[in-house]
Amino acid sequence: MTTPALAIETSGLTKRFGDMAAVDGIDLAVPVGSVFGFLGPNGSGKTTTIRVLLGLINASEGSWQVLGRSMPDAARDVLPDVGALIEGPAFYPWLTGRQNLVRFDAAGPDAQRSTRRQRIDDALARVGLTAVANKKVRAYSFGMRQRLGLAMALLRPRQLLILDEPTNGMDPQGTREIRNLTKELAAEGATVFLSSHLLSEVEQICSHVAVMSLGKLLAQGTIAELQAAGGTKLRVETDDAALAAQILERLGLAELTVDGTTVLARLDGHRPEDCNRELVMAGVGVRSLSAIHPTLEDTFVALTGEGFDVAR
Amino acid sequence: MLLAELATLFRRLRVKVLLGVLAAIPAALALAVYLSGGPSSGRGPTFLDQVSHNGMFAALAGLTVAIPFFLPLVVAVVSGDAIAGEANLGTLRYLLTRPSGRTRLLATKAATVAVFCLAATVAVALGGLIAGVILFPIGKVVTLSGTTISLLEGIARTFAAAGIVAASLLGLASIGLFVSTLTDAPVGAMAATAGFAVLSAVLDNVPQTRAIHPWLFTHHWLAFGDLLRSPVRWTDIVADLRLQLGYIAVFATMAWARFSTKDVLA
Amino acid sequence: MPASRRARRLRWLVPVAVAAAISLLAFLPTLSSAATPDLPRITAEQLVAKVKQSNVQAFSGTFQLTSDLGIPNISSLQGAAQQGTGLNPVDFLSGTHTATIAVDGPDRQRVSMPGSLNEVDAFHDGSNAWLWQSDGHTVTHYILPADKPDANDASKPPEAPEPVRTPDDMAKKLLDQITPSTNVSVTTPDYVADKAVYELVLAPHSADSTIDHVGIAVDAHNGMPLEVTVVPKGQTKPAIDLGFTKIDYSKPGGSFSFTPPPGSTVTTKDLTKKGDHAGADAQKPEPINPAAGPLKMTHRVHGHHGEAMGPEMPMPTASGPESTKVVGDDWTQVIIASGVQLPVRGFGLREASTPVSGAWGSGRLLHTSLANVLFLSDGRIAAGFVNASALEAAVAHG
Repeated sequence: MTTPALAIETSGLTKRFGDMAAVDGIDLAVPVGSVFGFLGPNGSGKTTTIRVLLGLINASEGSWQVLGRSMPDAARDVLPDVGALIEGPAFYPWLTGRQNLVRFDAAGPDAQRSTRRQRIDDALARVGLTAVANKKVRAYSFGMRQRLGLAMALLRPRQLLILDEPTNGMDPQGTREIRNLTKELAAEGATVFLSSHLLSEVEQICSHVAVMSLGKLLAQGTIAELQAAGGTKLRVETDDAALAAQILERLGLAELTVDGTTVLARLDGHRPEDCNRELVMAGVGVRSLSAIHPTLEDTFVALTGEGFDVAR
Repeated sequence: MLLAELATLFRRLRVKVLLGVLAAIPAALALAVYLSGGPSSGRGPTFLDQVSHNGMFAALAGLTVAIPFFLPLVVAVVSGDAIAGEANLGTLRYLLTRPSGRTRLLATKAATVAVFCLAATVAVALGGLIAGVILFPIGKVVTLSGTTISLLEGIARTFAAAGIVAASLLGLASIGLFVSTLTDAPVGAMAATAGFAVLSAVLDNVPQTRAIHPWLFTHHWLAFGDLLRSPVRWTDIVADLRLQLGYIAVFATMAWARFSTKDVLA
Repeated sequence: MPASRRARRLRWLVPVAVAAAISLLAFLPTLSSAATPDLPRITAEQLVAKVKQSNVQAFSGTFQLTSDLGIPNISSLQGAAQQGTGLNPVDFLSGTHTATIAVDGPDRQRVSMPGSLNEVDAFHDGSNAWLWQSDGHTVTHYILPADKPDANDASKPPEAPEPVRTPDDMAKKLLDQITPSTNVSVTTPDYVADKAVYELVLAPHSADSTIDHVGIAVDAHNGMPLEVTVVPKGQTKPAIDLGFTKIDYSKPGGSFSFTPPPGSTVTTKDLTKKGDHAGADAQKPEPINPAAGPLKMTHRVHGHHGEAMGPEMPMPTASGPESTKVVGDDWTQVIIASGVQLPVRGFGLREASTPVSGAWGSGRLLHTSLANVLFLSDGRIAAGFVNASALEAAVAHG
């Protein structure tokens, strides 16, 4: 089998619950080896997408491939290579952490008993739970359960990790550990698909980003591509803002705003040096002129709109 | 996978308590007989009047007392919890993405519930046997037909009866398994399953529904007693096993049709 | 794993197909039994003769009594106090009861009636007979007179261990009753207990009779009656159906005697002594002695012109009647007994009966699809297989 270029690929993936399309014809492309941030406000369809990807729910329309294999038909072959953390961890509270891992490992079609003990020890050590491995999960804090969930995802070497809000409920220390762990895993060659509603988290560790809103995929690509798509702006400090705005408008720049001595406008492919020449030639006193690259947050807000409202 | 599944089930406190209570039923019966000096002949549940003569009958009396209500209740709890309980805990999504395979997981659950049915009836038989041996003399066993068989054969037939009772509960267990695939609320599935058992028992006692009596899964629940006749009367036992097989076939495939296609949202 | 929506819907066809296959398997035997055996036509007289000539000495089999008298399940109405008694005659008024029988000549018989977690067995071996009841582990041992008369002789000792009448016994008695009041015919052959049978149909002429017809299925091969059905007027299903479900004409093996198990209560009744016999009959120490119940009943019904096909009336538990008389002929006979005290409440009869009154007095009528029983408030009881008005008329005239 040749290594596919994309770890996850969907085309026209749609999931409807009744009349409502929770996921509405999305075309995801997650390159192999990427750390892929899957961004979107709560209720934008991220978790539904992940559930469809993993074969938990049936797609209404569209097709998708995971690790180059058509799903859900190849689930039995593909899913052992996929570690997942879906909508929070879930365990049997009356079993210890270790017993839980044994139970889940044994449930797979590829349960290797001979290496199980070692693999469980390694996974527990990796998430820092060795000390409480023989305590009942009932007694675990949420953060500890989250770590145990990660340990479960790491029971086998995985080609793809699908992590749904992995830092949810974790303290800053834990969040940093998860971040480092994710980087480690990516460095080892795994593709990490990380859903989050936290921009900062994605910005810090992801190479690629996709943005969901209301079931639609608004944008995807590398972080640089996305920032570029968000539109670089021109910022001019001048003594005659009105005139400057006039000239920039004539040049074809859009979204002009004047605020005292500052003029802002979208560059839209115009070169800043051309703008500067035109302004100076027209006699505008330019104090400073700069092209401003948007932050990911700006892009995110531009795509999904302001506010904390749950989309639906 | 079955072993891990069984370990998960039997490590649960709830399950341990249920089995303990089941074992305590015949023990309590035997103790009551012991303390009261034995019920007068012909009174009380069948087999109980024999307990003071032969402690082994505590096991059979326990089965007789437990089958109308407590055993079905316990089976409803465990079978109703089978899938719905996993959904409720959220562990279902992790089992399925492991991937355990939906059909395979359902088959494992069915086997686990069947093992539990056997464990439940054996718990009753064992509890009765132990209490009976402690409190009363034991000896040759008088069958329902008035013949006498050796103690060893009597005990063997008692455990065979426990096996028959376990098999008799499989129809209910498969209904529970199906109901369990319909919901994410285990309590609802348990209640619905227990409801089916009650409904069947009630219908079986109403003469107006006589036409459907042979089709009710509770109809032959006392057939295990036929093992204690001589010669053993197989007609009702065979009818019972056939009926249970029919229920299993229908409800297990319904559970499969449902579970293998359902959206797992929990 | 989830497949296409179409394939997912199709999965529901699997349980549907399984259910269909099971119902097919369950009902197929019923359908195939609709086939009729290929037998030469014979007349009613030939068939009766065949029965009379029948001389089956040994057989074993299973027979079943199904009663549907259109009244509530009386035994279920009874209090818990009655439960657990193995041989409650009232039980036979409704539901299905199965018994196995083995007969080896007139001196060796055994009958076994399994109940729910209990059993009643009767053994007859020459001059000894036993009745075993698993409830209470009681054994009644009868010592029979050595010069035992013919089994079919009505004068045989009343306590003979024959608690359930067998189809052949019953049919023979019915055939003796064939009179001008009856329309006798033969219908299409059928199968009973896998044997090809002719069916003799006896239909009363009288409009007052509640009986539409009585059917007697006779083994075409050896003339042994295998099934008796009683169909009331206005019904197609028999109210009483007593027939073999399995029969084997080879000599049955096994023992016909019984060894009381340890711990059981044994009562011995020596019937060789005349005085003792009378005493045993008169003494009523066991008001609900199920053992004595149907036996005495059988005897009593014998006494009254052999009207043996009715279900056991709840009389055995009552104190004996002071006097009885019979009004009417054949199918429309009404038995009127006076001075009977019935434990009406205990049997749930109050719930099952309705109050009636007329020129003859008042009482409660127990109406079943087959028999009507009138409990008069003056202590008399009138019963017969006639409709209520005929019964009331009989009471008025008697």
